[in-house]
Amino acid sequence: MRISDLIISNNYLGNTNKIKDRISILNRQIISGNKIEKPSDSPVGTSRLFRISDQMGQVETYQKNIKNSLSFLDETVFAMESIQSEVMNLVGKLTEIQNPINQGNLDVYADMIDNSIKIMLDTANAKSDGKYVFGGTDYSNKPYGISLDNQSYQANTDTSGRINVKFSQSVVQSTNMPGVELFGTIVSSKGFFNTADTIGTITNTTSTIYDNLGNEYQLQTNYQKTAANTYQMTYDIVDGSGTTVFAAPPAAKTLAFNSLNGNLVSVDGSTSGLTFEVNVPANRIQFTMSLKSLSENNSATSISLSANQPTDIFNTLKQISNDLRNGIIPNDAQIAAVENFNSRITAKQSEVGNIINQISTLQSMLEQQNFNLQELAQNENGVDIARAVVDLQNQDFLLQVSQKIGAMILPKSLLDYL
Amino acid sequence: MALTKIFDISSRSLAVYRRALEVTSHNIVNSANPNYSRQRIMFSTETSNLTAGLVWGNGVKISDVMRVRDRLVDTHIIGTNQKYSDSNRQSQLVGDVEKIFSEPSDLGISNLMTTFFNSFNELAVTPNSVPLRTNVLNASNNLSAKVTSVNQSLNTLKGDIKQEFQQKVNSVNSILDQIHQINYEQFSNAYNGTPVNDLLDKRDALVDELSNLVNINVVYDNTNSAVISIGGALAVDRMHSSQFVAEEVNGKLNLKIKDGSYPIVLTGGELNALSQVYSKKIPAYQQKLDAVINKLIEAVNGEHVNGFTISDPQETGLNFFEGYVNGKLLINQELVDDPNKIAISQDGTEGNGEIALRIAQLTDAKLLNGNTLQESYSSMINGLGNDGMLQNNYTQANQMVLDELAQLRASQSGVSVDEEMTNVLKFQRTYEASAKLITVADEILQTILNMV
Repeated sequence: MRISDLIISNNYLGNTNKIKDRISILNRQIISGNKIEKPSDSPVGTSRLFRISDQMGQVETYQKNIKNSLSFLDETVFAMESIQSEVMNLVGKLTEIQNPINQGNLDVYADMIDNSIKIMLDTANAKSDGKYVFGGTDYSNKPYGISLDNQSYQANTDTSGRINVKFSQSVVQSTNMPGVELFGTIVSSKGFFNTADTIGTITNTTSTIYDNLGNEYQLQTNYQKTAANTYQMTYDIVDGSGTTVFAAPPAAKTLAFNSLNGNLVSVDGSTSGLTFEVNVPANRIQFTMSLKSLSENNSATSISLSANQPTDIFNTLKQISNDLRNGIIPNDAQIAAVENFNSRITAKQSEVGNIINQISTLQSMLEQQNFNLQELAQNENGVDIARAVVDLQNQDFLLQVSQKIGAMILPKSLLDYL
Repeated sequence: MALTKIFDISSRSLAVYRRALEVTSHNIVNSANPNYSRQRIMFSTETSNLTAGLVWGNGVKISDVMRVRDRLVDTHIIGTNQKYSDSNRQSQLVGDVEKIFSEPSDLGISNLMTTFFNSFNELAVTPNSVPLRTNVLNASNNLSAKVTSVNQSLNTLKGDIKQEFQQKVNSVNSILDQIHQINYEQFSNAYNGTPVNDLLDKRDALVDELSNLVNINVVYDNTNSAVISIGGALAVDRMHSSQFVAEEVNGKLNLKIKDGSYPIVLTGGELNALSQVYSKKIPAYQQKLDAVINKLIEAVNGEHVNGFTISDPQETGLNFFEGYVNGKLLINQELVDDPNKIAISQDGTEGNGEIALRIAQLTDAKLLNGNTLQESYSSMINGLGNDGMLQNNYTQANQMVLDELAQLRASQSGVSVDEEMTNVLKFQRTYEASAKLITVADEILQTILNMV
């Protein structure tokens, strides 16, 4: 091949350009620490980085959620321990009262109980991070208070709401203890409807409930099948003489069941609110009606009602205090109610403890996951600095050699020797 | 043979080698000119005389000064130029698009979309927290600003491409005019016997330049005029040159002959790159981005509209995003003015964050053709990256071929100073010898004259 001067200079320029190009890439990689600076550097790697970065962002958010929720749950546990400590103290006092020696100072005991109610009420209204610890999701008012005539305690707001938080791809966990489950009255409708029942079939149930002063009422529920997997529920509360407490009948509720698994899926179209509040202030009747335990199956229809009213701790204690001031010592049912509440708060503490354990475990898993993701991202996009520096030195050496050789060869021609 | 014949042969030789030295010096001074083709002197003997039954030589003459050029290499270079400049320009433009999306980075849409959904996830923990609500608005504003900026930058880039296309078409017209002029001049000069080699070099350089701009086909007629067609349409010959214009029809950049009806089929050169990126690639990226953003708006608003605000008075039925208008992702101004109007409560209580949770879960929902929004966006960026990589690879491959061809051309047409200097010495010595011959002839003549 004939070698012209243009070939030599083109070769020199082309080769030094290639070296400089490699030096430039290595330089950029070392400075930024990233192998992939634009999608065309590695389209597949970019997609992987997106996925890893998305997961890392989610994991960081889950970690923040856990941190915030743990702080709120710690506050919940602390409040429950305070209440339990007060209740334990009261159980002791109630036992003391049973001793005739102490029955001469019933007013003092009544004062102690009133004082404990105040402390417990204050704790029941505790706030953490701007949220009422036992207030459910309704923060419009303090969750618990005393009625205008000072005769009974009542929930000022709906305390049944749950704060659901996402802690991982598949874990959504409630992080609060709804006050209604601790202090309130829940009337549960339980059992199942037979899917074979004909449309129009009516099922009735009745249960005894009490107002805040301990007066007895009858809760009557009525379920009528209106279509396949659909029922209409009506209810009424009547006093001892059979008179309804409602000025107008409450609106009927529409219950829809899943045709495949038989679970209740919605009440009046709402999939999350499978409970509703019943509040009759004039009669001091207040409770949460829960329909969560209703289902449909092939067995004969069997529906029942159950209420946890005896553990309405504030009004039970108020009743005991009132009785003591009237010289009446607490009866066994009242003492049992206080002990019941003690058991319930212990059970609920364990429930909250379980949640804390669960999300603490998740926290460890997320830390590990975050570590793994960082490693994956590093593998995908990280620069091996040591290798890059060695490569850079090598390229720099090649450039110097090529420049030296170029400087020796390029200017030379026959002209130099003539 | 007459004694004076030596004078004739020698003086002719002096003229020939002086001319040869001129050509060599022309070669030497153009050794660094990349468009120059070395010229070679074709020596031959003068027609001999037949006298007294003997053949008497008449010395040397220059039969031609030849331009060393290989048409086959030229044709290959023209073809490769079109491919190289097409892929190189496309690679640069796709690189510009990559810069606009600024992926993968914290400031890319992917990360901002993740942050947007995560902000709702965090808000679900404390739904009544104003700082967390403001955090949601900040994340939304960042996403909105990036989406808007990407669209604006893509439109600006399209505007620049359109302008460049127009300028390149003007360049094509200018080059065609010049080639037409040279075609004419080289024909008339050749007819008059004037050297045309340098003119042909100039024309070949213009043809090379044209092949960088657009796909051309070049043939040479019997008068050595270049006949060039662009996409099948005659662009220039010795008699005339066409004028081309740029036009945009239905968002597509076309090249057509002035007053012509049909667009030219572009297959190579920078004009094809500009047209491809303007008419196909950028609209395709925008379309995919629009699909992701529209689905994001639809899905987020679909949840948000069912939520309740915690403002006073409480409201429901509010959209989170106002819409996606002219590439601008707009957030509902009511929410921006009052973060409490972010409607994430399902039952109206301020501690309920079910809607926020559902919005956060949209990140895992298969909303677009069986893919999540992130996957769809990622697929788009993957396509963009592949386009860029493909064009880079094409460019490198074509560059290698082009380098080889350029070396081949330089090997044949390039000047070697060593070679030329050797010729200088050779011609100089011959010139000196010819001069010496005149001296010798003179001495012979002097000797004869002295005899008289």
